[in-house]
Amino acid sequence: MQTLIDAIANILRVPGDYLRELTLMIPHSAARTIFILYFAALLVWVLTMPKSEVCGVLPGKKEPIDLRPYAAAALIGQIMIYSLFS
Amino acid sequence: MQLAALTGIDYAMMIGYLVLSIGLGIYLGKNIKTGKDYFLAGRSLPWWAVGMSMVVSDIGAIDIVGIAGSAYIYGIVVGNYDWIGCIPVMIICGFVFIPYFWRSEVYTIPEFLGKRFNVGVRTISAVIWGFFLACNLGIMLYATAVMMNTMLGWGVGVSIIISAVLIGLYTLIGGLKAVVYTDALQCVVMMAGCTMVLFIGLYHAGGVFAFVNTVHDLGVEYKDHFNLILPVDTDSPHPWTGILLGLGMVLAPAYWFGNQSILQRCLGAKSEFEAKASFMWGALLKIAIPMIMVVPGIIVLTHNPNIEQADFALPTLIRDTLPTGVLGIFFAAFLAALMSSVDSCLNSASTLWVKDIYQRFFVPNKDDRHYLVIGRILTLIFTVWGILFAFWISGLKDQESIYNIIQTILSLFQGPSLVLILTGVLWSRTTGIGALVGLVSGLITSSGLLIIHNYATVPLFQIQDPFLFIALWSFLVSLVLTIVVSLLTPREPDEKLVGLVYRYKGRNENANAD
Repeated sequence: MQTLIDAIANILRVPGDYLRELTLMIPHSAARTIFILYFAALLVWVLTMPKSEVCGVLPGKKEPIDLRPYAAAALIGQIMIYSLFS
Repeated sequence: MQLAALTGIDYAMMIGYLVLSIGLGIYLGKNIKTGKDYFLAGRSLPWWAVGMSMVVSDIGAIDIVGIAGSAYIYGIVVGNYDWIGCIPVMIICGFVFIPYFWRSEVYTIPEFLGKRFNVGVRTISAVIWGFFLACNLGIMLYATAVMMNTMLGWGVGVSIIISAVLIGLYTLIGGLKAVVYTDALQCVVMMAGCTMVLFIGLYHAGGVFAFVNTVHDLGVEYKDHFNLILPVDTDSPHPWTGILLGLGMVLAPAYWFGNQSILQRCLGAKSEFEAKASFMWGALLKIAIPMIMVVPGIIVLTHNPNIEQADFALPTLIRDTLPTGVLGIFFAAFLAALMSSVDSCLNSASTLWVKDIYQRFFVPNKDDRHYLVIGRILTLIFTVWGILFAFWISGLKDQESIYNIIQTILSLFQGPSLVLILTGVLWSRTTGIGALVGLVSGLITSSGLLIIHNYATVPLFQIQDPFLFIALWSFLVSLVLTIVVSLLTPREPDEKLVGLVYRYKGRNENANAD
């Protein structure tokens, strides 16, 4: 059993180590950019969503409320945090 | 590590909080007449309470101490679990998934998966979640009792019984409504308590800049303590690849898109819009969580960088800095975190077993009041079970192993579970057989990887705790097999898909729209 487990581990380790080597080559600044691009892409997606999916009326209110500014604020907060702490 | 004894003012604050919280829960239970009232609060919950309840349910009492302890060792990178691990996926969940869950009028997420796929997928999901939630109850009760013993000197057995009875009482009487409104109160208390610890800690550290400089001056091993993105070859279990791909792309979405104890309160929201709004509100609140829970752990380094056990970090800060009276507020926050997690777990475990097992397989067509009675009986049974399980753990020699086993079982399930939700809601071509094959193959992959990692002569992964990567690989295998098998099997009829798949209006209507 131990031999079988070691054999499988050795096989899986080959692509695993290759991927690890590849990711080690990515510089820190590029990694930070990937994180920020992720939040920025979500921000663009949120801001371009159709109104029908983001607006609604709460009980007791007459005017519809748009949720996009709140989602955008949370994502902009993330962009600022990841820019500051990395 | 026992804290200075609490004074009368501290006890008065804690007891006042407990009375208010439990009284509110019991008061809200007086109008419950049906199972829908009990399990979904009659679909009457407002966005603000749901949002606060989600945030506070996500944080247990052991997390308050554990997060600070991890931050003491690893630094602000621990904040990733609340930032990239929550905020983006909460926004996606609110806009993409919640509308379909809410509109389908289900009580549980496995029930939704049953509607979309088949009873096999529903039952496997329900049993795994039901088992996890039931065991987690005992673990939370035990772990918190140990912490009370460590910090306050209270007996473990007494703490287990008192907390289980008090929480069980208002959850049994008030159901989801009591859980959500008491959670909202607990959210305020918890955030206030932790914010006070942060500001008092910063004051003692000499302000923000002095705090940062002191930590940096401690030596080269602390150079990454203010870095959220750590290199791939870091010694910590949080390299950026694991955080982005394992946490951000798999574990976090699996948790927020499929965790019954989080999503149940959204299913009980007044309207689809309020359910969406609760997620945006929750995402905004989540921004503050690492500031008030992670940063205090780092602050401890400024006055005691040589603590033997990381979990003593926060108790040390509290003992050394908090004045009388404020200690009581912090312990009220600690109790709030305990109560909000245990009540959610209790209520969700009861809902899952009633709706997905009892009603589905044993007694399907009874009056809704019957399921209310069964729900209450099961809540009582789970309370007793939680107490017994907690006592059983306390009698074990290797207590940490049972906690790790339960957590590992959940992490093994996360990748395949996410594939079910993603392909189910986002791709109309996913079939029930494809989903079932994907789920089972994902579970086999994650279990296999864990076994190989633990038992191979040389561990498979180069980091000690590879759960982020196991989740990622099981997700990928499950996703590929779900897609392949779905394409090889006949597509599901339109009447099974409309209303459950994102923007899907039927094959003819979709073609016309194109």
